[in-house]
Amino acid sequence: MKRIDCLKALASQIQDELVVVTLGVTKAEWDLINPRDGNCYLSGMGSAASFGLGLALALPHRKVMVLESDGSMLFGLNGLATLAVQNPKNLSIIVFDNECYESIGGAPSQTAFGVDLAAIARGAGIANATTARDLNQFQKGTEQALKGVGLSLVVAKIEAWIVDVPAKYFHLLDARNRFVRYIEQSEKISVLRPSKIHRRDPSKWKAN
Amino acid sequence: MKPSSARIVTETLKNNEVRFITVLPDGWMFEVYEMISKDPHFKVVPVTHEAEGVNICAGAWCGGMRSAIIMENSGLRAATEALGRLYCFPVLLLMSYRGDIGDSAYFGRPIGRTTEPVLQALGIPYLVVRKEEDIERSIRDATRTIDTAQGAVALLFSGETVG
Repeated sequence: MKRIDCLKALASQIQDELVVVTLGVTKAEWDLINPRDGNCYLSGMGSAASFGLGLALALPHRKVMVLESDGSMLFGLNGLATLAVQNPKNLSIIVFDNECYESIGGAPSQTAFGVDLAAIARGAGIANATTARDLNQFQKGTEQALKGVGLSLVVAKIEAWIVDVPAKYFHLLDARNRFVRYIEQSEKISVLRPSKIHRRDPSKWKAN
Repeated sequence: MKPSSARIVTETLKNNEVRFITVLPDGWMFEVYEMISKDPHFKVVPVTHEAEGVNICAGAWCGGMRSAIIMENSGLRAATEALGRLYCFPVLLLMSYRGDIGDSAYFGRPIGRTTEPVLQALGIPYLVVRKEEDIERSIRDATRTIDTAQGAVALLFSGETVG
Protein backbone atom coordinates (compact mmCIF):
# COMPACT_ATOMS: atom_id res chain seq x y z
CA MET A 1 0.00 0.00 0.00
CA LYS A 2 1.31 3.43 -0.96
CA ARG A 3 0.66 6.63 0.97
CA ILE A 4 -0.43 8.45 -2.18
CA ASP A 5 -3.20 5.92 -2.82
CA CYS A 6 -4.39 6.25 0.78
CA LEU A 7 -4.40 10.04 0.46
CA LYS A 8 -6.38 9.86 -2.81
CA ALA A 9 -8.95 7.61 -1.15
CA LEU A 10 -9.15 9.91 1.86
CA ALA A 11 -9.47 13.05 -0.27
CA SER A 12 -12.68 11.73 -1.82
CA GLN A 13 -14.17 11.44 1.70
CA ILE A 14 -13.12 14.84 3.03
CA GLN A 15 -15.66 17.69 3.13
CA ASP A 16 -15.37 20.46 5.75
CA GLU A 17 -13.13 18.58 8.18
CA LEU A 18 -10.10 20.36 9.64
CA VAL A 19 -7.06 18.40 8.52
CA VAL A 20 -3.83 18.82 10.50
CA VAL A 21 -0.83 17.51 8.58
CA THR A 22 2.60 16.57 9.87
CA LEU A 23 5.84 17.67 8.26
CA GLY A 24 7.75 16.13 5.35
CA VAL A 25 6.46 14.24 2.35
CA THR A 26 3.04 13.55 3.93
CA LYS A 27 2.42 17.29 3.78
CA ALA A 28 3.72 17.63 0.22
CA GLU A 29 1.68 14.68 -1.08
CA TRP A 30 -1.56 15.70 0.68
CA ASP A 31 -1.18 19.23 -0.66
CA LEU A 32 -0.73 17.80 -4.14
CA ILE A 33 -3.84 15.61 -3.85
CA ASN A 34 -6.14 17.89 -1.88
CA PRO A 35 -5.01 21.51 -1.51
CA ARG A 36 -7.62 23.38 0.54
CA ASP A 37 -7.87 26.13 3.14
CA GLY A 38 -9.03 23.65 5.77
CA ASN A 39 -5.57 22.03 5.81
CA CYS A 40 -3.16 23.02 8.56
CA TYR A 41 0.44 22.27 7.62
CA LEU A 42 2.75 22.03 10.62
CA SER A 43 6.50 21.80 10.59
CA GLY A 44 7.37 20.16 13.89
CA MET A 45 8.25 16.61 14.85
CA GLY A 46 5.73 15.17 17.31
CA SER A 47 3.39 18.13 17.18
CA ALA A 48 0.50 17.14 14.87
CA ALA A 49 -1.52 14.86 17.18
CA SER A 50 -1.24 17.18 20.19
CA PHE A 51 -2.00 20.22 18.03
CA GLY A 52 -5.06 18.35 16.72
CA LEU A 53 -6.15 17.67 20.29
CA GLY A 54 -6.09 21.37 21.16
CA LEU A 55 -8.03 22.20 18.00
CA ALA A 56 -10.60 19.48 18.66
CA LEU A 57 -11.13 20.65 22.25
CA ALA A 58 -11.52 24.28 21.18
CA LEU A 59 -13.99 23.41 18.40
CA PRO A 60 -15.91 20.38 19.69
CA HIS A 61 -18.55 20.66 16.93
CA ARG A 62 -15.93 20.36 14.13
CA LYS A 63 -14.35 17.13 12.97
CA VAL A 64 -10.56 17.21 13.18
CA MET A 65 -8.41 14.73 11.30
CA VAL A 66 -4.66 14.44 11.88
CA LEU A 67 -2.31 12.99 9.28
CA GLU A 68 0.72 11.82 11.23
CA SER A 69 3.79 9.71 10.44
CA ASP A 70 5.55 6.98 12.42
CA GLY A 71 8.71 9.04 13.05
CA SER A 72 6.78 12.07 14.24
CA MET A 73 4.35 9.98 16.31
CA LEU A 74 7.27 8.25 18.04
CA PHE A 75 8.80 11.66 18.78
CA GLY A 76 5.65 12.77 20.62
CA LEU A 77 4.50 9.38 21.92
CA ASN A 78 3.60 10.75 25.35
CA GLY A 79 0.88 12.81 23.67
CA LEU A 80 -1.15 9.61 23.20
CA ALA A 81 -1.66 9.44 26.97
CA THR A 82 -3.24 12.90 27.09
CA LEU A 83 -5.29 12.18 23.95
CA ALA A 84 -6.76 9.10 25.60
CA VAL A 85 -7.48 10.92 28.87
CA GLN A 86 -9.15 13.87 27.11
CA ASN A 87 -10.92 11.49 24.70
CA PRO A 88 -12.37 14.09 22.29
CA LYS A 89 -15.19 12.59 20.22
CA ASN A 90 -14.35 14.72 17.19
CA LEU A 91 -10.74 13.70 16.62
CA SER A 92 -9.28 11.02 14.36
CA ILE A 93 -5.65 10.30 13.74
CA ILE A 94 -4.11 8.48 10.81
CA VAL A 95 -0.49 7.43 11.23
CA PHE A 96 1.26 6.62 7.97
CA ASP A 97 3.79 4.04 9.08
CA ASN A 98 6.47 3.35 6.48
CA GLU A 99 8.84 2.07 9.18
CA CYS A 100 11.48 4.59 8.24
CA TYR A 101 12.54 8.23 8.08
CA GLU A 102 11.73 8.44 4.40
CA SER A 103 12.12 12.19 3.91
CA ILE A 104 15.79 12.00 4.84
CA GLY A 105 16.68 8.86 2.91
CA GLY A 106 14.90 5.91 4.49
CA ALA A 107 16.82 5.02 7.66
CA PRO A 108 14.64 2.62 9.69
CA SER A 109 12.45 3.88 12.54
CA GLN A 110 11.69 1.74 15.61
CA THR A 111 8.49 0.43 13.99
CA ALA A 112 10.74 -1.49 11.56
CA PHE A 113 11.73 -3.64 14.55
CA GLY A 114 8.22 -4.55 15.65
CA VAL A 115 7.11 -1.53 17.67
CA ASP A 116 3.33 -1.50 17.25
CA LEU A 117 1.86 2.02 17.35
CA ALA A 118 -1.77 0.82 17.40
CA ALA A 119 -1.02 -1.42 20.41
CA ILE A 120 0.70 1.50 22.17
CA ALA A 121 -2.35 3.69 21.48
CA ARG A 122 -4.68 0.99 22.84
CA GLY A 123 -2.43 0.66 25.88
CA ALA A 124 -2.74 4.40 26.43
CA GLY A 125 -6.52 4.00 26.40
CA ILE A 126 -7.54 4.76 22.82
CA ALA A 127 -9.82 1.74 22.42
CA ASN A 128 -10.51 2.36 18.74
CA ALA A 129 -6.93 2.01 17.48
CA THR A 130 -6.44 -0.31 14.52
CA THR A 131 -3.89 -1.20 11.86
CA ALA A 132 -4.73 -1.11 8.15
CA ARG A 133 -2.56 -3.27 5.90
CA ASP A 134 -4.35 -2.76 2.59
CA LEU A 135 -6.37 -0.03 0.90
CA ASN A 136 -9.66 -1.75 1.68
CA GLN A 137 -8.91 -1.80 5.42
CA PHE A 138 -7.67 1.79 5.23
CA GLN A 139 -10.86 3.03 3.58
CA LYS A 140 -13.01 1.18 6.11
CA GLY A 141 -11.02 2.75 8.96
CA THR A 142 -11.25 6.29 7.59
CA GLU A 143 -14.95 5.95 6.72
CA GLN A 144 -15.62 4.93 10.31
CA ALA A 145 -13.42 7.73 11.60
CA LEU A 146 -15.21 10.37 9.52
CA LYS A 147 -18.63 9.12 10.53
CA GLY A 148 -17.71 10.29 14.01
CA VAL A 149 -17.52 7.18 16.13
CA GLY A 150 -15.35 9.02 18.66
CA LEU A 151 -11.61 9.26 19.13
CA SER A 152 -9.90 6.88 16.75
CA LEU A 153 -6.46 6.07 15.44
CA VAL A 154 -5.62 4.15 12.28
CA VAL A 155 -2.05 3.02 11.65
CA ALA A 156 -1.68 2.66 7.89
CA LYS A 157 1.18 0.30 7.08
CA ILE A 158 2.63 1.71 3.87
CA GLU A 159 5.66 1.02 1.73
CA ALA A 160 8.37 3.64 1.53
CA TRP A 161 7.55 5.38 -1.72
CA ILE A 162 7.46 9.08 -2.50
CA VAL A 163 5.55 10.62 -5.38
CA ASP A 164 7.48 13.01 -7.61
CA VAL A 165 5.99 16.18 -6.10
CA PRO A 166 6.73 19.45 -7.91
CA ALA A 167 8.81 21.91 -5.87
CA LYS A 168 6.61 24.14 -3.74
CA TYR A 169 7.53 26.76 -1.19
CA PHE A 170 5.94 26.23 2.21
CA HIS A 171 6.13 28.84 4.94
CA LEU A 172 4.64 28.14 8.35
CA LEU A 173 3.16 31.63 8.70
CA ASP A 174 1.54 31.43 5.24
CA ALA A 175 0.05 28.06 6.07
CA ARG A 176 -1.10 29.24 9.48
CA ASN A 177 -2.81 32.37 8.16
CA ARG A 178 -4.61 30.50 5.43
CA PHE A 179 -5.91 27.93 7.92
CA VAL A 180 -6.82 30.47 10.61
CA ARG A 181 -8.73 32.66 8.15
CA TYR A 182 -10.64 29.59 7.01
CA ILE A 183 -11.62 28.97 10.63
CA GLU A 184 -12.51 32.62 11.18
CA GLN A 185 -14.80 32.59 8.14
CA SER A 186 -16.38 29.20 8.68
CA GLU A 187 -16.85 29.67 12.45
CA LYS A 188 -17.52 33.42 12.33
CA ILE A 189 -15.02 34.07 15.14
CA SER A 190 -11.91 36.21 15.51
CA VAL A 191 -8.76 34.18 16.04
CA LEU A 192 -6.15 36.79 15.11
CA ARG A 193 -7.72 39.44 17.41
CA PRO A 194 -6.41 42.54 15.63
CA SER A 195 -6.20 45.65 17.79
CA LYS A 196 -8.19 48.70 16.82
CA ILE A 197 -6.35 51.85 15.75
CA HIS A 198 -7.47 54.70 17.99
CA ARG A 199 -8.74 57.59 15.98
CA ARG A 200 -7.40 60.99 17.02
CA ASP A 201 -8.89 64.23 15.84
CA PRO A 202 -6.28 65.98 13.63
CA SER A 203 -8.22 69.28 13.51
CA LYS A 204 -6.25 70.80 16.42
CA TRP A 205 -3.23 71.08 14.11
CA LYS A 206 -5.08 73.33 11.71
CA ALA A 207 -4.28 77.03 11.78
CA ASN A 208 -7.06 79.18 13.15
CA MET B 1 2.30 30.62 45.10
CA LYS B 2 0.84 32.82 47.81
CA PRO B 3 -2.95 32.23 47.81
CA SER B 4 -3.61 35.95 47.37
CA SER B 5 -1.26 36.05 44.36
CA ALA B 6 -2.78 32.89 42.89
CA ARG B 7 -6.22 34.51 43.17
CA ILE B 8 -5.03 37.59 41.29
CA VAL B 9 -3.46 35.41 38.58
CA THR B 10 -6.68 33.42 38.17
CA GLU B 11 -8.95 36.47 38.06
CA THR B 12 -6.67 38.37 35.70
CA LEU B 13 -6.47 35.45 33.27
CA LYS B 14 -10.26 35.40 33.26
CA ASN B 15 -10.54 39.15 32.71
CA ASN B 16 -8.16 38.87 29.76
CA GLU B 17 -10.17 36.08 28.12
CA VAL B 18 -7.59 33.35 28.61
CA ARG B 19 -9.77 30.26 28.57
CA PHE B 20 -7.64 27.30 27.59
CA ILE B 21 -4.82 26.21 29.89
CA THR B 22 -2.47 23.25 29.74
CA VAL B 23 -0.67 22.38 32.97
CA LEU B 24 2.29 20.35 34.08
CA PRO B 25 2.08 20.57 37.86
CA ASP B 26 4.70 22.67 39.63
CA GLY B 27 5.18 23.36 43.31
CA TRP B 28 5.20 27.14 43.09
CA MET B 29 2.29 27.39 40.61
CA PHE B 30 0.21 24.69 42.27
CA GLU B 31 -2.30 27.06 43.88
CA VAL B 32 -3.15 28.54 40.47
CA TYR B 33 -3.65 25.02 39.10
CA GLU B 34 -6.09 24.29 41.94
CA MET B 35 -8.04 27.50 41.41
CA ILE B 36 -8.39 27.27 37.63
CA SER B 37 -9.39 23.60 37.90
CA LYS B 38 -12.36 24.55 40.09
CA ASP B 39 -13.42 27.41 37.82
CA PRO B 40 -15.73 26.49 34.92
CA HIS B 41 -14.47 29.49 32.92
CA PHE B 42 -11.31 27.52 32.13
CA LYS B 43 -10.75 24.43 30.03
CA VAL B 44 -7.80 22.84 31.84
CA VAL B 45 -5.77 20.09 30.20
CA PRO B 46 -3.11 18.35 32.31
CA VAL B 47 -0.20 17.26 30.10
CA THR B 48 2.79 14.93 30.35
CA HIS B 49 5.48 17.15 28.81
CA GLU B 50 5.79 20.89 28.28
CA ALA B 51 6.36 20.60 24.50
CA GLU B 52 3.10 18.70 24.31
CA GLY B 53 1.43 21.47 26.31
CA VAL B 54 2.66 24.11 23.85
CA ASN B 55 1.50 22.04 20.85
CA ILE B 56 -1.97 21.60 22.36
CA CYS B 57 -2.18 25.35 23.13
CA ALA B 58 -1.27 26.19 19.52
CA GLY B 59 -4.14 24.04 18.27
CA ALA B 60 -6.58 25.55 20.76
CA TRP B 61 -5.53 29.05 19.70
CA CYS B 62 -6.36 28.19 16.06
CA GLY B 63 -9.78 27.22 17.33
CA GLY B 64 -10.27 30.70 18.76
CA MET B 65 -9.29 30.10 22.39
CA ARG B 66 -6.66 32.29 23.97
CA SER B 67 -4.35 29.81 25.62
CA ALA B 68 -1.68 29.50 28.29
CA ILE B 69 0.59 26.85 29.75
CA ILE B 70 1.41 26.67 33.45
CA MET B 71 4.72 24.97 34.27
CA GLU B 72 7.98 25.09 36.17
CA ASN B 73 10.75 26.98 34.40
CA SER B 74 12.64 23.67 34.01
CA GLY B 75 9.86 22.82 31.55
CA LEU B 76 10.92 25.68 29.34
CA ARG B 77 13.91 23.61 28.25
CA ALA B 78 11.63 20.66 27.47
CA ALA B 79 9.30 22.94 25.50
CA THR B 80 11.97 24.55 23.33
CA GLU B 81 11.43 22.35 20.25
CA ALA B 82 7.70 23.16 20.14
CA LEU B 83 8.29 26.85 20.90
CA GLY B 84 10.98 27.09 18.25
CA ARG B 85 9.02 25.30 15.53
CA LEU B 86 5.61 26.84 16.25
CA TYR B 87 7.08 30.29 16.77
CA CYS B 88 4.07 32.08 15.26
CA PHE B 89 1.36 30.65 17.51
CA PRO B 90 0.40 32.92 20.43
CA VAL B 91 0.68 31.25 23.83
CA LEU B 92 1.16 32.65 27.30
CA LEU B 93 3.89 30.87 29.30
CA LEU B 94 3.22 31.14 33.03
CA MET B 95 6.20 29.79 34.90
CA SER B 96 7.70 29.69 38.34
CA TYR B 97 11.22 31.12 38.40
CA ARG B 98 13.05 28.44 40.35
CA GLY B 99 16.64 29.45 40.98
CA ASP B 100 15.91 33.16 40.97
CA ILE B 101 17.78 35.14 43.63
CA GLY B 102 16.19 34.22 46.94
CA ASP B 103 15.10 30.66 46.09
CA SER B 104 16.14 28.54 49.09
CA ALA B 105 15.97 25.20 47.25
CA TYR B 106 19.32 23.62 46.37
CA PHE B 107 17.95 22.32 43.05
CA GLY B 108 16.68 25.70 41.93
CA ARG B 109 19.79 27.33 40.54
CA PRO B 110 20.57 24.69 37.85
CA ILE B 111 17.05 25.33 36.58
CA GLY B 112 17.14 29.09 36.85
CA ARG B 113 20.54 29.70 35.31
CA THR B 114 19.33 28.77 31.83
CA THR B 115 15.84 30.29 31.98
CA GLU B 116 16.43 33.83 30.74
CA PRO B 117 19.12 32.86 28.19
CA VAL B 118 16.77 30.24 26.70
CA LEU B 119 13.92 32.76 26.46
CA GLN B 120 16.28 35.23 24.83
CA ALA B 121 17.57 32.61 22.39
CA LEU B 122 13.99 31.78 21.39
CA GLY B 123 13.17 35.47 20.96
CA ILE B 124 10.37 35.23 23.52
CA PRO B 125 9.55 38.51 25.34
CA TYR B 126 9.28 38.03 29.11
CA LEU B 127 8.75 39.76 32.43
CA VAL B 128 9.90 38.64 35.89
CA VAL B 129 7.05 39.22 38.33
CA ARG B 130 8.32 39.52 41.89
CA LYS B 131 5.68 41.79 43.45
CA GLU B 132 2.04 40.98 43.95
CA GLU B 133 1.03 44.47 42.85
CA ASP B 134 2.65 43.80 39.44
CA ILE B 135 0.73 40.62 38.62
CA GLU B 136 -2.39 42.15 37.11
CA ARG B 137 -0.59 44.57 34.82
CA SER B 138 1.97 41.96 33.76
CA ILE B 139 -0.69 39.45 32.72
CA ARG B 140 -2.65 42.13 30.87
CA ASP B 141 0.44 43.31 29.02
CA ALA B 142 1.63 39.79 28.20
CA THR B 143 -1.80 38.90 26.83
CA ARG B 144 -1.74 41.97 24.60
CA THR B 145 1.71 41.07 23.37
CA ILE B 146 0.85 37.48 22.38
CA ASP B 147 -1.68 39.05 19.99
CA THR B 148 0.57 41.79 18.63
CA ALA B 149 3.70 39.61 18.41
CA GLN B 150 1.73 36.52 17.26
CA GLY B 151 3.94 34.29 19.33
CA ALA B 152 4.77 33.19 22.85
CA VAL B 153 5.26 35.60 25.77
CA ALA B 154 6.52 34.46 29.19
CA LEU B 155 5.91 35.54 32.77
CA LEU B 156 8.28 34.27 35.47
CA PHE B 157 6.85 34.31 38.99
CA SER B 158 9.21 34.75 41.90
CA GLY B 159 9.88 36.90 44.99
CA GLU B 160 6.91 37.79 47.17
CA THR B 161 4.37 36.23 44.75
CA VAL B 162 5.59 32.75 45.68
CA GLY B 163 5.99 33.26 49.41
